[in-house]
Amino acid sequence: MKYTNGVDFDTIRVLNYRYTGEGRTIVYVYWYIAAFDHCYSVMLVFMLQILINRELRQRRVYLTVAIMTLFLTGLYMWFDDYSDIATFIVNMGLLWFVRNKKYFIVTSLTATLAYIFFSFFGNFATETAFHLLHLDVNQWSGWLFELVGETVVTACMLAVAISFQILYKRHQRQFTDGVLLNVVVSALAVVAIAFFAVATAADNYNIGSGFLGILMIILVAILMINGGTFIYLFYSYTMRVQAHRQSLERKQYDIYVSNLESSYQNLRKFRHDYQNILLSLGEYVHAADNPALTHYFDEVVDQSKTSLTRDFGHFDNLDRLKDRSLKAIIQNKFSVARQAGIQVRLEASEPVDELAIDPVTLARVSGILLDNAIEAVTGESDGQIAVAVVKYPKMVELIFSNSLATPISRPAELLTAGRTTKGAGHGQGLATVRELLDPLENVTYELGTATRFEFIISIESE
Amino acid sequence: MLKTFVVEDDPEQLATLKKIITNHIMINDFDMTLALATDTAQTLLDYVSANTDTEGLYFLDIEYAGQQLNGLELASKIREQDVNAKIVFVSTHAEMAFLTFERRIEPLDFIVKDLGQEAVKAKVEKDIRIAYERYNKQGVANKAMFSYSKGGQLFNLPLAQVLFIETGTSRNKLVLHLTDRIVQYNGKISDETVAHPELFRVHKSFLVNPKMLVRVNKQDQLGYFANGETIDIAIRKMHDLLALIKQSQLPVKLN
Repeated sequence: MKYTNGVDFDTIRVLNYRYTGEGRTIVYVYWYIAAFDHCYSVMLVFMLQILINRELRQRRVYLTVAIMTLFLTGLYMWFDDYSDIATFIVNMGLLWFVRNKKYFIVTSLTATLAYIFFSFFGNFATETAFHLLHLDVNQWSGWLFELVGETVVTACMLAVAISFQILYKRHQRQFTDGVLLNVVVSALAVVAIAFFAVATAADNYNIGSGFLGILMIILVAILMINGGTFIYLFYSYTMRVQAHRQSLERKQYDIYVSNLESSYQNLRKFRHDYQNILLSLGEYVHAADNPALTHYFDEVVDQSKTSLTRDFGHFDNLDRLKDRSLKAIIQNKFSVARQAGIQVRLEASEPVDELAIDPVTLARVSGILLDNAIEAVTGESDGQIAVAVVKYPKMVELIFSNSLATPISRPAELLTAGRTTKGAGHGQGLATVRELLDPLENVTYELGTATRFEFIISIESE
Repeated sequence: MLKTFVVEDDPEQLATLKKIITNHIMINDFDMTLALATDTAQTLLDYVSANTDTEGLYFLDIEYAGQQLNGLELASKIREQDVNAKIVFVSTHAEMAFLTFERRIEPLDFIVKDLGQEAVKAKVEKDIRIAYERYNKQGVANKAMFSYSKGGQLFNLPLAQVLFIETGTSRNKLVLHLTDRIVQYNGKISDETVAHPELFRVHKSFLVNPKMLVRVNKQDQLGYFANGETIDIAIRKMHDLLALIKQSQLPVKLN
């Protein structure tokens, strides 16, 4: 490989130049060294790839790699131009053996690029070392140069393999994330293509390696900036698409809820009529003085009574609440409570529009109060939670209540942080409610513990 | 005489209620009449508006199909005319809005129709007895009331529940401590001191119902209530408070 270990590039040329007199030996040495160099380089790339990609650890791959190495070494001995590209392309043949193609492209590009970079570095390091030790590169120390150079490169490649393994173990999920793999693959592909292009150009127009390095740095910087921009645009686009989808879903959800509400209202009307029909039918049945009929009727009524009251209630009156945040939080907490086997009911005798309170504060306060209520009645056999929205001409009151197993004698204590019936540390909730409501001029509250726990928020319209 | 009223839009149920009420009044020989039993809410409202001195016991349904008024509106309009109205809601469980009615109407009772005829009958009879007892006591001991207002709405409660009023944490807000309730409302303690002569200002931030005090600690300048709540008493006011306690012979322990 040409830019790699300098033996076949600089050193050999120097050797050739110095030892023109003993041409034969030199050619002999040159041939050996070059063959070893090519073979070892190709092997290194494959080795790194096999080390970082578990899927490649199979006998078929080893065999193929051996054949490929022999083929490539032979090819490079005969024709050395574009060897990096050739290695990479031949390398792609291994795609046949793997199932996770994208991940393979990542590992093979990583291996190729790492090799290219570290062989530059290895060559430079070895030359510097030789220079510092005042060692001449001659016929015999050419081997030494080669050995030292390859050792440095090998060490670097092993370091790459180890760091890749560590990275893989720490961030396993990112390696299976399709989007991220796509980004990495395209970034690596762009870097590789750029490098090959620049290298080929430099080769053909005889540009020096220093200039090549600068060109590479500039190119990589541009690519980094481009890549960053691309990723930013990509993500902002995805976000926009997501936001759009969410708003669509939201709209559909709203339609669904309003349909549900209207069909629930129909059901309620039906239940109302049905119950009243049963009741007045009952009057006739009891007046008829027919014991068998009365008995049968009472049985029917008993059954329908339980089925009519049992699972109703959680959607009652929800359509009358127009304040979205309140509606959402009540719906949410009620379904949590229902799952815990708690009876819930919402009272709203009249439609209630937007409330004169900041929706975030209202959501926080009602969330805390409902959570407290759920916590308080969970585990009680006859636990009940009720919320009422009471409308007055100039005020709306929200009443949050839950049944109490044991009465509370001193309601004032509940409002101080850290003191509740639920035990130490649980009182933060009501203290927070107080902190949130106290500064609001048009909002006052009440707390009652007579027969049930009751928190009333009075919101005066401004 | 205590008048009884029924509004129920189902004719059979109306007839049954009528029967239960007239029978119970007759058997017990109460000084009561069934003044009106109707299926339209407006009829009752017209009656109450025409006879402003009515004192009554009202059995109301909550939803009247096809009528403008519903039970809640009817009840609140009755309450405006008849302050001592004893209102009982008779309806199915699904229609009841217990919290709302209690807050707005302070009804005497809720009777859930779905519980069956026997249960309804028993509850109607019990409510008649309770209403009658209260009606008779009403004249004797006119209970002292306390009221506060919120958003243009007046809330009444017996003075015997009031412990004290305290200045709140934020400006212009007062905290009313009742025996089993804390009420925050907008107001100034100086205005409340003038508005409620039955309460005594013991401190710049406390206005107290002296009848509810159980103990006064002169040394620590503290006042105690039955539920364990305490208030500060200013040195200047201690003397006046003790004089008041002595003068009204209040059962307050001193130490």
